[in-house]
Amino acid sequence: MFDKGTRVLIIDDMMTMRKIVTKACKELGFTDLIDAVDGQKGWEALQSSVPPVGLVISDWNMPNCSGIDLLRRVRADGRFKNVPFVLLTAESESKQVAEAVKAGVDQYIVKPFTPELLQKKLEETYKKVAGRL
Amino acid sequence: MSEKFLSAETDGVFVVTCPPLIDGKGEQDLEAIVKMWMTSTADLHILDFGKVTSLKSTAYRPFVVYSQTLKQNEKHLFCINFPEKLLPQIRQDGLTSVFVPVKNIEEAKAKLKPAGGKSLFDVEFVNPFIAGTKKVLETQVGLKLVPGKPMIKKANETTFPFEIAGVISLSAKEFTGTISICFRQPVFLALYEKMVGEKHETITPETQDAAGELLNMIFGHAKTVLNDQKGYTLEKAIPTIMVGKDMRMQTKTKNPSVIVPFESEVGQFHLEISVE
Repeated sequence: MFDKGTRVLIIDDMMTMRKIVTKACKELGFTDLIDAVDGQKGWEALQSSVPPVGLVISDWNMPNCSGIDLLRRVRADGRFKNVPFVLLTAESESKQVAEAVKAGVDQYIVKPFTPELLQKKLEETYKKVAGRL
Repeated sequence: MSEKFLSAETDGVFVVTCPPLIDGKGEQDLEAIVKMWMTSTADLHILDFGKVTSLKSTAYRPFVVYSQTLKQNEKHLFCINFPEKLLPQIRQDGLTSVFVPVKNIEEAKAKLKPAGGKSLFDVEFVNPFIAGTKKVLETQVGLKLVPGKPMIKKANETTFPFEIAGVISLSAKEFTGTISICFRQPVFLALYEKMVGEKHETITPETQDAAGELLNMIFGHAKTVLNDQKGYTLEKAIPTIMVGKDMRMQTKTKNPSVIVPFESEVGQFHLEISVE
């Protein structure tokens, strides 16, 4: 599992969801949590963050750069292409999941979610990316 | 009349088999019989004219009342096996809106639905929203829900008051519309506290997007079911929030809306679905 000191970047245009994800991450023991209100702000946070972001948990549908567009930008940039990226979204249509996989997502979590589900998905993410970190 | 009207209801369709001679002054009290037909709860009523050889003008008034009453209650009346020789008569006597011929019951059913065969009042359309609401509130908020019986709200009618609502526009090839989730302030704040762990005394800009997020998740669930499994074409949408005191939803569509109330330990709230 991710080290509990990993910097986690939480991106969602809804304040309520940022609070819910933050609360769930704290319950899982994460201590270094930052957030952004849309994909563009998320991109800026990735570039400026010290220490560097070690895990991104992002919503899909957002103004000013959606989660999927941010994911593509991250995977295309040599500096961040290996950053673990989890999409957290209300939509789970098969074509949407396929699009996310094609864009290089590490995990796809469908809302609503419990802290237990988040933990399970983050453990799977860690196993998947351990080889490339 | 040697033969009488026979009626039966099957699969939600009320069918009246008409006798060869339809006469308002015949053996049966036609007005009384029609009143009995109007007590059927079926949305679709069919007059089978297969045996009819004569339609007397004395029978017109009960059928006009029957047709008008059904329309007022958002129900429909069609005729099957309508004799061609009677068509000039009903045209001449201005009754083409009362006696509406169709080829068969299937054609009548198809006329109830918009193009694409998708009707707002198909349970297959409403049920994913009910299931989504239960799933979201139970998983994300930890709140057990009991859905109430869906109700029909007529166009331009207003019903339950609320202080906050999340609203999403529905857009598909077959129709457009809106879905709203509506809460009174105390219910919303109690729900917010369970979901986020923060207690608030009033609805504030900080708390109000929770209504939008809840509806976002409900819509996401329903959209996946409807598009992937039922062949609908709903598009993505971003919710808006309405906040005020004692507000009531009024939709300016021709069609009625469906309201689904939910009971929970923190109080009642409702979903409202309107389609055009």
